[in-house]
Amino acid sequence: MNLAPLIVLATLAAPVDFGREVLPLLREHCFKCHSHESGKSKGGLVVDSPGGLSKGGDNGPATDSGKPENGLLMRAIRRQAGVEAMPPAHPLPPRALAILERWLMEGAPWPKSAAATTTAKSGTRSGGITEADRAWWAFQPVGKQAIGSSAGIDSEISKALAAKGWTRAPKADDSEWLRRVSFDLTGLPPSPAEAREFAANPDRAAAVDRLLSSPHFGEKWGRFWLDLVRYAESDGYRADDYRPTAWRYRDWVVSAFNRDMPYDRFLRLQIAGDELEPDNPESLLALGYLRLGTYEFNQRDAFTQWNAILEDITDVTADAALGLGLACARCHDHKYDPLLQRDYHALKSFFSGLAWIDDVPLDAAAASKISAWRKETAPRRENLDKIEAAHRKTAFRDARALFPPEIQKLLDAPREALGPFQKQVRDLAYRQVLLEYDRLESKVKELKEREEIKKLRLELKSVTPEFAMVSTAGDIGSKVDDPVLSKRGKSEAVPPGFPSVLDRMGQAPEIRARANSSGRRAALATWLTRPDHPLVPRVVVNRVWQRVFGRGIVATTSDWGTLGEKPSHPALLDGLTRGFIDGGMRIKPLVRAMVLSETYGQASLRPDAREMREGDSDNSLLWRGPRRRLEAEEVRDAILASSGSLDRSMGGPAAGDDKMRRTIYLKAMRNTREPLLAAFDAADGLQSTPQRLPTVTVTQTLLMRNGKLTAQQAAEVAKSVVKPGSGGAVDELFLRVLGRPGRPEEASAVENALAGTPGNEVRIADAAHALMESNAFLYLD
Amino acid sequence: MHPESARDFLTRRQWLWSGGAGFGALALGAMDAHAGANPAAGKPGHAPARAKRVIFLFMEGGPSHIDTFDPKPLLNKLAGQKLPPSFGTVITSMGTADAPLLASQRQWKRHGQGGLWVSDWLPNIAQRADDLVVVRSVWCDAINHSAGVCQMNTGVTMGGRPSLGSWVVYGLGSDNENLPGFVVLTDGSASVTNGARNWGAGFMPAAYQGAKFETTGPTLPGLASTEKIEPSRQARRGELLAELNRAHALRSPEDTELAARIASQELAFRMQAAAPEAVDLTHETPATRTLYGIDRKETANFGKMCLMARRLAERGVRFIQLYSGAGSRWDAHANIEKNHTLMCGATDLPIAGLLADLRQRGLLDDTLVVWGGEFGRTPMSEKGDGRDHNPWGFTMFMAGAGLTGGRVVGSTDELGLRAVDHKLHVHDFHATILALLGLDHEKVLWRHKGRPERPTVNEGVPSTLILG
Repeated sequence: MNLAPLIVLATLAAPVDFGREVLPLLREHCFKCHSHESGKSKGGLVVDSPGGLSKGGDNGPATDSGKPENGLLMRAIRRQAGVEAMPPAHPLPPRALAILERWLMEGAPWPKSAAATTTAKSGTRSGGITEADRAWWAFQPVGKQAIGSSAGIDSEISKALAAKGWTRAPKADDSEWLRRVSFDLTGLPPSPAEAREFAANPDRAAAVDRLLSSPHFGEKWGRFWLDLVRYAESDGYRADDYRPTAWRYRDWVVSAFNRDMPYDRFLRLQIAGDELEPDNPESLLALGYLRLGTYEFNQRDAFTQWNAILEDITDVTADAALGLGLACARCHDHKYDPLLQRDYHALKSFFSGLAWIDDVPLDAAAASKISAWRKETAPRRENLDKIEAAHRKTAFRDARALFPPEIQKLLDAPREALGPFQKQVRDLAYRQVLLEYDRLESKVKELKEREEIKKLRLELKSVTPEFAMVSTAGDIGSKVDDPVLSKRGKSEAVPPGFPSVLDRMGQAPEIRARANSSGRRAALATWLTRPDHPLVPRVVVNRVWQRVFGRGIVATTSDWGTLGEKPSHPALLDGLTRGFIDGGMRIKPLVRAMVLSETYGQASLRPDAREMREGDSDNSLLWRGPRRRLEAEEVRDAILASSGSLDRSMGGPAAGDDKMRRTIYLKAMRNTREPLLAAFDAADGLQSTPQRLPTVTVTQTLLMRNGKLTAQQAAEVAKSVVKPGSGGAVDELFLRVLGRPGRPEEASAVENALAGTPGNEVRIADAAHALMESNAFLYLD
Repeated sequence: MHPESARDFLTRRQWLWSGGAGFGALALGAMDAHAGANPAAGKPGHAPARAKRVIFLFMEGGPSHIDTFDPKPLLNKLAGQKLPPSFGTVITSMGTADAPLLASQRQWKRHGQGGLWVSDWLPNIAQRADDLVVVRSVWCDAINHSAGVCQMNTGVTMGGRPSLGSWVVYGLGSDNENLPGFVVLTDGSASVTNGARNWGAGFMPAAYQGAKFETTGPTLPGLASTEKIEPSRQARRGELLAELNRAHALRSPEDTELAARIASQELAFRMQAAAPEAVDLTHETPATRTLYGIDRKETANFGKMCLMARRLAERGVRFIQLYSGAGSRWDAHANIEKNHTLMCGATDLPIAGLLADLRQRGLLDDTLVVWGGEFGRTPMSEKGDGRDHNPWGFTMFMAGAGLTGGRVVGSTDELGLRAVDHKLHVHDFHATILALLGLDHEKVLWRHKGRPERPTVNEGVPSTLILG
C-alpha cells in the first residue's frame, strides 16, 4: 500500500512572510528612528513603505534591486565596512538578521495590503477595535424568538434539509435509540432489564425522564465540564504530586449537573463563590475551579511562576466560558480576532487578587472536630514544636537559600509589611519552605533526635482522624495590585476590564471590595452571567448541542472568533439560547428537547446516503442521526457493566484503576494515564478540551484484543450467561454486552460460532470478547 | 494547503488510522472508491529532505557541556572564586548563583580532521568526531527538569503541546505501516520526567503520539496477550469478530470510519508480529553486539537500545527517541565526577557504535542523530563538587543527515554560562531538525482554538550555520 505522507504541505521554498515576519522586525528595530509612526527620519530615511526604501536617505537608496547584497540597508544590518551599522546600539539578533537578509535578497517585496498600516500613526489593529469587528455575528445580541421544544428543533432542521431537497432518515430502531440515548445521558448502556422493558413499552419520553433523573446523568455530563476546565488530581511537572482533596470539586460538578443547577450560578460559584455567596458552603467546593492548574513544587522563580498561574486561569476561563482562544493576545494583539493584548491583561486583572487557601474545614461539623482535636493534642504538638524549632530554622535557611535575592527578601520580611502582589509571591515561595518542614524528619542529622521526631510525628498521626478538608481559593485581601503589562520598554498597570470588542454591552466593571477580597472576580462572574451576554449562553447551548448531535451548530465549539466557523443553523442556535435564558439557564430541559426530537431519533446508518454524504460529509445538516464512537470512559464502563461488575457507588476519593468504579472516579494523574483511557482519547488535564478526538488506532485494537480488562470481563459475562434461567444464551449475550438484542445476521454469526458447544463457558466468553471488540459495541448507531 | 484542525479531522473523509502509536496515516482512497482525494498523494515535504528519520538521544537530567564538548580554560583559572560580575546574574534552581566556580577535572584533546575538542569522558564518541556537528550555543527557558524536558520535547515549558516527534509524523507520515512512526525507548524502569506526555500529541489526535516500546517483555501494552491463548481459539474469535463487523457494515457500506476500524484489526495482527521482530536482537552478530557494547555490563543496557534504534531506523520508523538516565539520572548536583563517569561510561561506547554502524550501513546519510539533554550544567559548583542546571547555554550535537561533520557551531562565554555567539533557542534547534527533514517549521500547521499552531510556536529560525 502507498505509504506517502498524510498532508500535502504547502509549497516549496516559499518567500518570507512580510506581514508576519518582516514588518514586526522593521517595527521593532528600525521604526523608532525611521518611520511616520515615530515621526522621525534620521539621515533622511524612512523604512515604513516601499517608496521610503527606494527613495532612500541622505546616502542614497536603501535597497539595490539589481544587487540586493550591495544595498545600503543590507550592508548596514550586516554591519559591513563603509556604512553606518544599523541598528546603531546592538547588532540584530541572528534570527532577525536572517529574515531581513532573506527578504532583501528577494527584492524587498512589500505587499500593498501592508502599506496602509505602516504609514498610519498607530501600529496596532489601527488603534484597536473597528466597527466591522464589533459587527461579527457572535458579538450580536441573542435573538428574541425562543425555541424550547423538540418540534421547534425539528422544524428548523427540516427547513434546511428541504432547501437541499433532502429528507430526514427513517426512525432509528427502538433498541438502537435506547442504547444511543442511554450512553448520551448517562454514559452507560441500558441494562438487560431496561432493554426488555423498553421493548415492551417503547415510551421514549418516559425513558428520557428516567435517564435525566438518574444520578449517572451527572457523571456523564459532569465529565464534559471537567474536560473543559482541564480537571486532574495531580500537580503535573516532575513530582506530579497527588492532590488528596481535588475530588471534592469533581463531586461538586457531578452533583451540580444532577441537580440541574442553573448555568449562570454554576459559573458564578466557581469564579467568585466566596464573594457572591460567602455563606454558601458549596462555594468552597466550587472554587476548586481556581485550583486546577499545574503546580511546580520546586520553581525558584516564583514571580514568573505566579504570573503563569494567573495566565493559565485566564486562558481556561476564556476558553471554557467565552469560547474565545485568548492566549495569543497574551503577548500581542490577536492577529486575526479582535482581541487586544490589553484586553487579555485586563481580563487577567480580574484574577489578580487570587490566593490559595488550603486545609479549610468543609463544614461546621468538620470545623468542630478539628478544633476538638487541636485542644486535645495541644500539649503533644507544643512538645513537638519545641523539638523541631531548631531544625525548622535550618530547614528555612536551606529552603531560602535556593531562591534569588528578591524572593529571599520577601521571605525575610514580616508578611504584613508586604504589598498584595509581594504577599502572593511570598506565599507561593513559602510553600517550598513548608515542604521542607514536612520533610524535616528525614533531614535531621543527629540520629537520636531524628528518631524522636519520627516517633512523635507518628504518635500524633495515630490520633489524627481524616478530616473533611478542602483546598479552595479566595483573595489576598481587599486591596490587590494590577498586573503589569510591559511593552516596548514601557510598563503599565492594567486594571480589570472586559474585552473591548464587546464594549457595546456598555459599562465598566463595577468592583466593590469586600472585607477580605477585592470583589474583582465577582465583577467578572456577574458580567459573564448577564442574561444579555452575547457569548456565554450561546457557547454553552452550542456545547450541549455538540454533545448530543456530535457536531456543534458552531462546529468550532471553543473558537467563536473570526477564524471559527459560522453557525450551520443560526436561527436555531439563537432560538435555543433564548429558550435557555428564559428558562433559567437549565441544562436538563435543553437536553430533553434535543434527545426527544425526531432529528435525534433518526437512524444513523442509511444506505441511500450517497448524495448527502457527498454534499455534506460531516452531517452538519443532520440528514441522518448522530453516530459516534464510545468515549474512553464509556468503553471501560460498558465493559464492566456488561458483566455486572461495575461498582455504581458515587463520589469520594479517587480509586485505583484496579477498582471496578466508574471511570470518572479513577485517579486522574497528569503524568501517568491509564493506557486504555489514553488510547481512547481521554482528556489529559493539561489544556481545556472542548471536544474529544475519536481516533482509530492500532493501540486501541490491541488493548481490546489482548488487554486484561476485556478478557476478564468477557469471562465474567460468560459465567452469568450460562447460569440456569438466564434465558437463551445468545439473546442474553447481546443484551448484556450491547444493551440491545442482536440483529438476525449478528445473532446467527454468534450462534454459528457456538454451534455444537452449548453452555461451553470458554466459547461464550470468546463470543462476548469478540462482541466487545466489534464496531457494534464501539459505536453508537 | 490548509492547516488541519480537530474539525477537519472529525469530518474529513479520509479517516486516519494509526498505531496509537503514530502510524503513518494511510489514505483510505486506496480502499474506498468514494472516499475522495487521496491525502497521501502530495509531496513529502516543503523542500528536499536531507534526512528521512531522526534518532534523538536524550540524556535526561542535563549533561555538563563544560565537561564534555565545550572546554573552558578560564573556569579552571577562576575555580574557587565567585562568578565575576561581568557575567551577569542568573536565577538557578538550587540557589548556586553565588557559589564558587568548579574546575573541570577533564583531560581535553582535539579529535578528527576537524580538530573537535572532546573530553576524556567520551573517548569513543571522540573517535567519531568527524561525524559530529557540535552545537555549543543552545539555550532554553527552563531552570527545572520538568519544564526543560517538556520544552526540549514540545517547544514550551508547560505541558499540553504536541511533541516534536508527533509533528514530524503528522508532517511526513511513516515509512512502515506495520510499525508506529514514533517510537520511544527508555533505560531502566524509572519514569522519564513528565512521563508519557513528553511524546504525547497534545491537541493533535492520539494517532501522532509516540509509542513507548518496552525493552523487555511485551513490546507494547496489549501486544502480547496477558494469558496464553492457543492460536486456533484466537483465530476463531477473530473470525467471529470479522463476521460481526461485516454484518454491521452491511447497513452503511460507505462509512469510511467503520472501514478504517476494520482495517485497524488487520493492521493490529501485522503489528503483533512486526513490533517484537523490530526490537529482537537475537539474530545480530557477535561483532555487532560488541560494537554497541552489549557484551559489557556497564554498556549493555544502552547498547541494546542503540541497536534497537538502528533496527527501527532500518524499518522506516520516522522518529526514534532514546532516553538515557530516565528520571533525571544525569542530574549531577553533587559529585559530578562519580555521576558523569557512570552516565558517560554507560552511553559513550553504544552511541559511538551506533554512529559507526549507521555509517557502515549507509544509513547515516539519511538519518539525523541528535544528542543532548534538557539543559547543561553551571560553571558554579553545588554542594562542593556538583553542578546546577544551566539553561542559558549548553551543547547538543547532530550527526548524519548529510551534514559536514567535525565542526563546531556557536559558542558560550568564557565560563560556559551563557550562549553568546549564534545563540539557538530550542525553537531554532527544532526548526533546524525539521528543515533537515524537508519540513518548513512555519508551514507545518494545525489549527487549534482559533490559532494556527506550529511546532515552534510561531518562533524559531533554522540555523544556517548548522545546515551549512
